Amino acid sequence: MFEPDIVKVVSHEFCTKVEIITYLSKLAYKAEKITNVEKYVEAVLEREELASTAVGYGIAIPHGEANEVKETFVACLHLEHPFTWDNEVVNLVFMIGVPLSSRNKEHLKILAMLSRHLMIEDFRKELLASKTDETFYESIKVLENEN
Amino acid sequence: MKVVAVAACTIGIAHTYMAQEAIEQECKKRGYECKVETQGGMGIENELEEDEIASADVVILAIAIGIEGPERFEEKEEAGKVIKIDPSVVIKDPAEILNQAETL
Repeated sequence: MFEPDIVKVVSHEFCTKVEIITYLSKLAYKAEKITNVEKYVEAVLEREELASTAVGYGIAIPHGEANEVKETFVACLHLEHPFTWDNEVVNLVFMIGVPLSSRNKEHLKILAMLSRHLMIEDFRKELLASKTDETFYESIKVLENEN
Repeated sequence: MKVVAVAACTIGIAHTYMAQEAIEQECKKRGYECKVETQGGMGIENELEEDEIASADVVILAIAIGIEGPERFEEKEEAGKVIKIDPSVVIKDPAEILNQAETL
């Protein structure tokens, strides 16, 4: 579910949320989670238009449901330079991809677990304290083993 | 105070569960009894029993879509004990929603 290739700590300063979504989508493509970057990005932006996915607490959770998603994934991004996502300052982005069909229950369970954990202050603090891809990944990966 | 709630969002993968956690945490902080049913990608979980709804002081519907079994809350609705909001609202500011609940 969580894979090192799509879990990143980044110092680059992004200018738009489309840039962030595209950056993460390209990672997802390389990791073979999606079959088409443009179509997936389109699905994510469509969802963003309904309502911003900045949820408070410095977190945004853009997500897209599309046929181009091979299997459920979450691309995780820790921004060293906070980004203003629709009027909200964000330093953690969790971009979720879900296939339109054949959803894996185990994956949905882990996503629910991640969502709940993001509401816990200590967990957020730990994520923000992770300054390298490796430590960031380790902090997130533990969720796979929780129940 | 006893709170029951239902959380449901459009895709059912994230907001639903964040709203659940937000309501549970805020209720715990205030020492309220609380149960949150989720209607998400994994179907209905933590389903509210009839007597749990009947005995609740307030119902929070943190929903962005039509839910299963809305008729269960009709009586509470008539009694003015239902708060209906988008999940994102309670995620951002659970304290405000619980403050509202107290005034019902």
